[in-house]
Amino acid sequence: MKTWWKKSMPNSGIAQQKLPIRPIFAKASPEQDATLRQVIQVYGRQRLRQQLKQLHLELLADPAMAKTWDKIRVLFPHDTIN
Amino acid sequence: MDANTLTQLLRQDREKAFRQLYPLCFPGIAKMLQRMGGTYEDARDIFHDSLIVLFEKAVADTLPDVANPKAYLTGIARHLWLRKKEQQQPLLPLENAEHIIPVPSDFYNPGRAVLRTVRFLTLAGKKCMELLEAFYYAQTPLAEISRQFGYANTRSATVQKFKCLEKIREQVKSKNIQYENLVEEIHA
Repeated sequence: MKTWWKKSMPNSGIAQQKLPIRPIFAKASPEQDATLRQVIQVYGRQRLRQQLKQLHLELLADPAMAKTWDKIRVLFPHDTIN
Repeated sequence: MDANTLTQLLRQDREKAFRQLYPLCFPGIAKMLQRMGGTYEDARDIFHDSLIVLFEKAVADTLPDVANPKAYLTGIARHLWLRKKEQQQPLLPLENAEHIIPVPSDFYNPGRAVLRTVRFLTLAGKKCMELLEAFYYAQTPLAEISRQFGYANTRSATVQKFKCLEKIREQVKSKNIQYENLVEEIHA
């Protein structure tokens, strides 16, 4: 099973991550299955980016993080910290 | 925080892990990127992408047993920045650091066709995509998925997951999209 995974996506780097090879579509070919897995991964990354942007905004308003943002303002005096 | 603790925390409560890593790592990474010519926005975006790579490594159980996760995260950020700069200026030589920490080579290039497919599948059902993402990408245990999505038990979550896959299959069929073409487009 591992062979098709590495073979089907030789340059993606995904094989290095030892992702589990539990099939998504039971009746699909390994390539079809890998495609859907890749789509879900891209979707997952997009969602995580949105969540991190939200967390960033939340932490900007957190008084406990004031010292951190002061350091950032010193580093980027010409940028708007948002 | 050692690598094992970090892996466990990222798998169990990634938001909590990110909250702990923010004050610990963001200033140092921002300083490094500022020295390498990045703006504040670059620092913020690269830091977020580094956290994503770290999370994926924790989920896939490929986070090495590093003594200093902060230094490791900084290494990921450096790698991502070099990757990004290299894409903007293909003739810029990559430093040796590029080969030290493996980062998925498609991290910044999933391909337009994949993004189009993601949009298409999102239209097919946001909740379904979130469920599949939780199961296959974040590898959240079914019991936790049941709690998050409000299902009565893990059996209901499994059934729902199956229905979601069926729904996607139906969408592909109804739009007359050949799965093989989708594969060709994505890998082209």
